[in-house]
Amino acid sequence: MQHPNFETQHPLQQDEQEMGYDPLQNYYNRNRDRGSLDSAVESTFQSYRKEWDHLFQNSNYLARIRRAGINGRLRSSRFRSVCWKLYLDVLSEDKTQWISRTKVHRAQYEKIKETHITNPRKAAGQHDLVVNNPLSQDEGSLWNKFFQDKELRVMIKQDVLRTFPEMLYFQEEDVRTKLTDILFCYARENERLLYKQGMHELLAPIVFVLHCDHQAFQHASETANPSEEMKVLLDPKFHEHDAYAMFSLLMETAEPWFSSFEREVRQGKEEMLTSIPFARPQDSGPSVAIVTKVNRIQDQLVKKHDVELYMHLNRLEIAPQIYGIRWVRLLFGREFPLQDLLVVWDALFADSITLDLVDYVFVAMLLYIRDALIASNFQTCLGLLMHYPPIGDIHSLLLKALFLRDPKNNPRPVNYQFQQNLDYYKTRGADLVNKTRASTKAAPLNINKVSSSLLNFGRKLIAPMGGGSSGISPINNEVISAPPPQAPVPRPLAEPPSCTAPSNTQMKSQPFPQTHHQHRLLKSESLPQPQLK
Amino acid sequence: MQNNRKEHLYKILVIGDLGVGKTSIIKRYVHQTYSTNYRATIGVDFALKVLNWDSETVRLQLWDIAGQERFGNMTRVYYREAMGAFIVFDVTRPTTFEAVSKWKEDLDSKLTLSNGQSIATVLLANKCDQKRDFLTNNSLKMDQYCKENGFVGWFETSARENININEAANFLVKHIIASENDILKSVVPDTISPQLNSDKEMTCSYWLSLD
Repeated sequence: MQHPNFETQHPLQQDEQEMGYDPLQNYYNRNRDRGSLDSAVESTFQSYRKEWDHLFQNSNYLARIRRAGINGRLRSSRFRSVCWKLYLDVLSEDKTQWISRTKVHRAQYEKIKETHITNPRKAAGQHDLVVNNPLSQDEGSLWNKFFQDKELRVMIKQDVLRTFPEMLYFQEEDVRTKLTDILFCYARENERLLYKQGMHELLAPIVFVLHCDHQAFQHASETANPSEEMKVLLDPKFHEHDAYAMFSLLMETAEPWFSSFEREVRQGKEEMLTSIPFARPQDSGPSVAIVTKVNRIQDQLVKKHDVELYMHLNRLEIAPQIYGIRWVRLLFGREFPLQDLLVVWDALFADSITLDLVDYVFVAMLLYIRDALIASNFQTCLGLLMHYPPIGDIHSLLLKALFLRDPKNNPRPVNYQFQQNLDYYKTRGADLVNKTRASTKAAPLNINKVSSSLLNFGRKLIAPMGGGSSGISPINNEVISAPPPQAPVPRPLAEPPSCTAPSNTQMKSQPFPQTHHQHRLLKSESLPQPQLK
Repeated sequence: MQNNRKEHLYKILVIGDLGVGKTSIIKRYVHQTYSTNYRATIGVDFALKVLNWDSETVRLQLWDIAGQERFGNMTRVYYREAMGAFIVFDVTRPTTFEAVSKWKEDLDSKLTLSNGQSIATVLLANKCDQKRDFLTNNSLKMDQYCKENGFVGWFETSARENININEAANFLVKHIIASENDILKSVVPDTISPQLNSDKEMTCSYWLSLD
């Protein structure tokens, strides 16, 4: 497991030939160029080949593709799965070993599947009828195993059927079978953990990314002979095998977050659990690793970076496990639409297989909605946290996370805040996510003028105790209006939150005191929607 | 918005094993929709429902707790300050019914009202539009089961067909209000008015267990 060391060179530093460009912007341009070249001069395959070389040819290629992942430059890469394999250590840096390593992994899965699915009888190798009959109570009985397997499969299948229900791809029967088989094999290979809900949503994006790369490969190889490495690595025949290898390596880090094994949380030396005055509910009793983790994020990182927010959440008694378990377990899979999620995963994986960046993305997400949170009561806060609002620019969130972790070596991102009609959250509970996401792109930007007064208004409404029912917007206020317009309003750090937010037109031209990336901001105007860094 | 209506806010838990339809029940109740496409709940989710209750406003905070979270200490934080609960099982899968008593035990061991009573809990036999082959056919046995296990009542429900969801919720809210009054007044039990019977209908049966 290697941890990339960015201490001397921050990860956002551009490669020589890309100096002065917004990485995303640069990517769009390159795509466009490529598109026109395709039709005119180059064949599809040549551009395909070029992209491959660009990513993996350089002698110091691994550090470069890590930077590419962190900077969001794999967004439309046709080799994202290969990059992920490198990040997750499925492939080693030494390219001469790629093919052999791949074959080893595939053979391993072949064997695992043979043992657990294809022919469990042979695996057990027992034919003693005293033990192996349908009525046997023997733990090791094949029949007993058969019934257990059936139960496990039913449980997995139940979640597989509910995986990304809005995507046609995951409705295909063979895709569902693949997901089920992989999760089943993983559970059987990891008897202590077995299958836990949420694993299916860590696996699904991996399966999807491999599929996309296979499609691109098949398309490109129609016109020319691909290299031996491409042929082996991107062979659709081994889709399931490769997904298993990537998933199990990802799970090496994620496993504790799914574990229900409880242990006493170590408190300070002199603190006895029972004697903590004003102990919060999350402080008492033994705890599972995921709860310890999210508590630590809130109690240490949030406190450090935004003490006001920290105190607000504590005052409302919002335990981080209420919203944070899903954030962490699914690596934010429900918080962002898939295309953005993959960019987040690019960065998380590229940064380190230890997924160390998760904690900081977590904090950056809280900070993004901090004004709205602080202006809200218990119920509205829960709405915001559990149905996280659409985020305008995923890249700036990642920049923020990097900056929070290591402010010395990362540029300070422009502060950006979620501003929104909070009434929406006050009157609605669930179902926000789907609706807002569906229309994210077309959301109008008209909220800026309202927002500051709303926030002030909201502040007055903060209930002193959690769950207070005071000051909530009118009853039955059916929200028929458009989904919340999503408008990240730029606000320099020094600006007090109460002053009027800049209007749209200002937004584009307003100089930002601390922006190192002003050129990026301007460039981003050509993107489909205003994006602020 | 500052009308003088009295407001109540109640936190209600919706618990039960994996895939019994907790999320579907909530979506049906809150948004009047049904889909087979809900994702598995991870951790916990929540939704709000506002009711006009006589001359008062009742806000329900429905906490949808993932089926796999009934282990160890995790649920303690989710249960906090809840005033009522639905425990849901799937009538087509007997194992989900077996889990009902485990959920009830977990709930009662971690949460009681200030007077020491357990919170009002209603049992929902969900997916009643589908074929089933076990005890919910026998409503006497179900009544008995509820009595023995401290449920205030049970309903056969279907989120898909919208059967009994509102009825069950109204029933639970009545019990919550009753037990709240009970606590506030600290009076002898059995003061709950029999008007509860006013909406007695369908296949549900219930009684008061606030003794």
